[in-house]
Amino acid sequence: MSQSSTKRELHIGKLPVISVKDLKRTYQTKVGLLNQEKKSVEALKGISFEIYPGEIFGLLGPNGAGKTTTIKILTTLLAPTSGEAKVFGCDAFGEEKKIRPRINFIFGGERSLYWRLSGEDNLKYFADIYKIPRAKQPELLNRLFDQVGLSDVRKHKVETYSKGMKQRLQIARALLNNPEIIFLDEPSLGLDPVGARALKQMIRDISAQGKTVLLTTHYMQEADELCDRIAIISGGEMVALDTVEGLKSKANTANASLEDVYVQLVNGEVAS
Amino acid sequence: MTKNSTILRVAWADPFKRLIRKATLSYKGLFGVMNWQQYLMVNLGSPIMQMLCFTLVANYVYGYTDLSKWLIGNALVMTYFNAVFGVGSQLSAERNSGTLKLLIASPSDRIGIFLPRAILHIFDGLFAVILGFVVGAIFLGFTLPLVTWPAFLLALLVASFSAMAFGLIISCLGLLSRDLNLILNIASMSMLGLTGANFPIERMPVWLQTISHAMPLTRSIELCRALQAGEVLSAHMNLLYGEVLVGMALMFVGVLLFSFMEKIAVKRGALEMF
Repeated sequence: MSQSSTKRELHIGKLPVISVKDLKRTYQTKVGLLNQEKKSVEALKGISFEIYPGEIFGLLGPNGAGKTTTIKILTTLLAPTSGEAKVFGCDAFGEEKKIRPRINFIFGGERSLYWRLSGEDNLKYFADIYKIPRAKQPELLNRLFDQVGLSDVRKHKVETYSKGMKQRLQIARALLNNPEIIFLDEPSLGLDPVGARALKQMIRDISAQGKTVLLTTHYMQEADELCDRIAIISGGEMVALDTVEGLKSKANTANASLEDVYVQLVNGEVAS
Repeated sequence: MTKNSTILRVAWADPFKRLIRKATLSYKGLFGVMNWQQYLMVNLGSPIMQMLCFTLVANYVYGYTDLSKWLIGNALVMTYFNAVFGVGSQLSAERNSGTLKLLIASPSDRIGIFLPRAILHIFDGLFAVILGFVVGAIFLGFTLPLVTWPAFLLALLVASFSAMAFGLIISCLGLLSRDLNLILNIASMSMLGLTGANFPIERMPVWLQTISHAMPLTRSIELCRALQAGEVLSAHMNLLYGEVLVGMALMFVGVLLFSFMEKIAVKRGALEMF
């Protein structure tokens, strides 16, 4: 697997903030009631990659490829079966206390918020959970509500928000602790074009602040526009890892889009 | 007062203010009802009807003319509603709202996440019990000497604390199980049957008596019955201290269990499993 030299050069001298080596995760499930049969599902079969400070790194793949499993491991929510998953040089399972204050994450969809509370109460609650000093909270909340464009509805209950508003509130929540890395797992899921465009601009703004972003998405255009480098995984295995231009150059057709090369790589029509 | 001392004072108050806000918002976010009518119907209506039912059944079975003994037991057991269905189901509710992973992956210590959730339920449970006695006074002729009220209130507060600590242990199971209903029902039934509220503990088999004495509320029910009968608190401090110890022990076990269950859930991948 080769990588284009252009982006690589940007990382010379920098240590990766995320380092994944031969990462494997197997889920054990039981089938049946009386004669229970144990089944194993290999979600990750040994993937490796590194992410450098300030990058927007895309993790693409079909449903069930292992993208969310990878993010769960890196966000300390899931233990790997074997291999190495390090964030800031610390093991994601075993040294999670050193990692948690410095990261945050968003999983796509409308959950992960308290719908009965107002947007403001949601942020206040998580600000307390993240032990942000009370004196700093009013200014921080004002800034975040301004940033995500929800200032006028901050006192409304979340259950009255649209899908796009809920997603923007999630972004505000994820920025509360000023994280160095933000994990975004399909953040544009179900958003309309206007909402998706606003979200993309927010991701660019986050990146402009020097934060590292790990993004999973099924929207190739979004990945094309945002990502510095992209890893494509399928069936728990790494299929390709390169810059957007580097990936496009692998296609077996001229002027291929990212979607073209993605389909070809996942279907095994071109070599990685 | 200098600016520095003001900042220091504010910083000192921070953990306490955080605790109160976390308690309030987690209650509102997960258990809070939408309006007073709903609160009266759900949180009070059902438990009070249950209290009246069991009190009358117990009185019929044992043939006593004074309902107070059974009313006290069943009124205290009403705390089960907050303990089991409020505190006990909270982590399961967090999982359903997709917020469990946010709490687990936060830098907050486990006690800071875990304990504030019981605070409002302690007072909510206390309110339900007091209302139960009011209903008992109106409909069943329950009386309590005025001089006993402070000691009685203290005993009720301790009982509610102990019941919520029991709820914290149940809630830990929500980290691993997606269907808590069976456990919640067993827990609520055990509070009805094993605390002496409806059945004399001394008539139980010895092994069941051991369980009964490890349960929350058992000592509080005995204490409240003694106070209502005109005895003084100082003669039964062992029961009060005993209930506090049971509550603290349950809470300690709950915090340990939370950390243990969290590790298992992360290993199994059960935090987000449905």
